Amino acid sequence: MTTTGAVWLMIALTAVGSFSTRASFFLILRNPESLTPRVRRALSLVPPAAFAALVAPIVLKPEGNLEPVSAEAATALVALVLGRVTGSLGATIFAGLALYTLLHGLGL
Amino acid sequence: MSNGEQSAFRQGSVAMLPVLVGVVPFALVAGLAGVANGLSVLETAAFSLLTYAGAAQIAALELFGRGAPLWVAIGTAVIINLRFAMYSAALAPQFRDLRPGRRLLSAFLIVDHAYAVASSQFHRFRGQRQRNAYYLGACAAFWVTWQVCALIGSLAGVGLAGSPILRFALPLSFLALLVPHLRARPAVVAALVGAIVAVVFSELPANLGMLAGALSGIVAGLLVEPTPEDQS
Repeated sequence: MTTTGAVWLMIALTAVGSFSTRASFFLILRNPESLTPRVRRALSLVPPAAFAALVAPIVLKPEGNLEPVSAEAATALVALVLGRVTGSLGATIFAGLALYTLLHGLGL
Repeated sequence: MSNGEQSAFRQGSVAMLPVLVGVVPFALVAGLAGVANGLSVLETAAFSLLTYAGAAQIAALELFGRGAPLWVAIGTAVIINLRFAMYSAALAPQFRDLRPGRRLLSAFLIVDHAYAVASSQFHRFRGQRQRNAYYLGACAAFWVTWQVCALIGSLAGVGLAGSPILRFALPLSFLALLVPHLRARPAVVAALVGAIVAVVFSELPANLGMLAGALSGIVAGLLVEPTPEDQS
């Protein structure tokens, strides 16, 4: 498959998957209250579990080996603290990028 | 729309404004993520317009850019979007009596922020039509901001593609998104276990370590009994 073909296949299938999830209870189930509390809890745990699993290897293994002290790890730590203190998505991303640029420039 | 609905629509849009300030950088990053991972500006825009799911889009692009097989990128995006089923279940009964077209539009526009803002204000409106108008107002403000900023991001990214700084913007935005979830104990456990398992299994082919981490995190979080304040 060409790269262009792969890109459009990804776009199409992700779009169908996203819309199906969003429309699920509007279309299929006549009784949305039937979602059990356990399933609700599992769904609410998707964002923290998925986001952490996505980020952790990039932060802790930037070059493929475990590297707890790095520009990536330092920036991540600061971003976590900053996000908690400021509660602002924008401030966290911009300040984190500024710090990473600085540390990266210093050759860390 | 009746006058009452138009007024509700406007109120919903206005209520979103403070939230949108925080969304702008994330939308810019979503646009950047497309071109940084080899998509054209057109393909990035199509992805935003059709999928309209920031976190899932960026995750899929990140995996695609790192050479993961297509099904892993798509599977990851769908897993991240599973939380929309939760909002779908909450909103469907609120809009039960509306026309199918409006119900489907309401479903297509589901995003975390609009759901959060609108659901906190539904009690102010008596009828389903006005509630829905308020919700659609919030959604419309978010949608326009998202699409415009994502497009700006992808145009800006054409010049920046390939820089290491840009590549780190994507994981950084997930860290920023992660923070607000780390309040209740089960969510913290889910994130910790997800992170550890993903790091341990990062050598697995096809980035399966990420999927393994996400699924183990969810299971671990379910095993933690929520304290009463967690359930609020």
